[in-house]
Amino acid sequence: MIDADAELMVRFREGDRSAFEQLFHRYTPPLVNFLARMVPERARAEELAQEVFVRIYRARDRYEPTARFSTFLFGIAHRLALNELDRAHRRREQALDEAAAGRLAAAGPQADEAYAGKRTAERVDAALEGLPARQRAALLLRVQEELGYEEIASILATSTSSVKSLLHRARETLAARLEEEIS
Amino acid sequence: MSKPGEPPGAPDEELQSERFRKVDELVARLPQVEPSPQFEAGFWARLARAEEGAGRRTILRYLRPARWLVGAGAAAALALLLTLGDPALPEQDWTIVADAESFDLLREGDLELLSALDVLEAWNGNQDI
Repeated sequence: MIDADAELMVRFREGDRSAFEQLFHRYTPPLVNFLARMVPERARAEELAQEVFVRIYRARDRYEPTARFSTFLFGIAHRLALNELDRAHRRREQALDEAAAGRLAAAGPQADEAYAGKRTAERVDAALEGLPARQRAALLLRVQEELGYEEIASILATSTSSVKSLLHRARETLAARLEEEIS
Repeated sequence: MSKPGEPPGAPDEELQSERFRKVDELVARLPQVEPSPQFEAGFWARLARAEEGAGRRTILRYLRPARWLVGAGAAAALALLLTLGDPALPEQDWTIVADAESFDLLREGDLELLSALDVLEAWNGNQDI
């Protein structure tokens, strides 16, 4: 039994281009959202999201519905995001960590209630940005995309116990960094 | 609360899961990053470029064996030339032929007639003098 999106992909493989367009429109928002929180530059995140769809489009002849379509899509997205982060060099990651910590401090809670929501979002974003890439990916896929442990494990090419461990460490770090928000 | 170094007890676990739940809530409530209005057009343009690039690579892939084939053909022709160029006739019978008629005679292997022709040509030359 394959999921409805995998079925659309099979239809696309058989020549139905409108099936691809449906998948494109359905998955563009979550994909852009995921990549925008995985890589530091918004424009680059969009390019990577486009690249994911290009790869899916061009791999249609080889597509086999062995897993959910979202696993296939986020798996490509995750690999591209990691490559992008690798390319950006470790020293840049270091700089980003420092920048994220700086933004976290700068975006400290303010008395003005009107800005409270925005400030919180900025602080959560900054804290997320400071997480190691795999922890960040695991948390985003679990919390924002509401994917199961097994699916996340397939996307990250790891075991479910490793996913649970990644999630635990991510939550621990965020809880410490966002002490004021969660207390 | 358990002491440092001791495994967490039930209250600690509850406290931790409550903190984690709040973290999840904060992450879930983050505003979605929306794609820009140019996203779709950018995708189709990118796809067109990728397909065009793939077309060029396919042509090159087809041409690559052809290049080898041309090289191999040239090498085979050279080898054939060297093999056939090896004189089949004994060295002393080598004759430089100047015209098509003599060449035909040479091909037919009538060496006797050919040397008679040479003598005749030499004689004619003498006559001229």
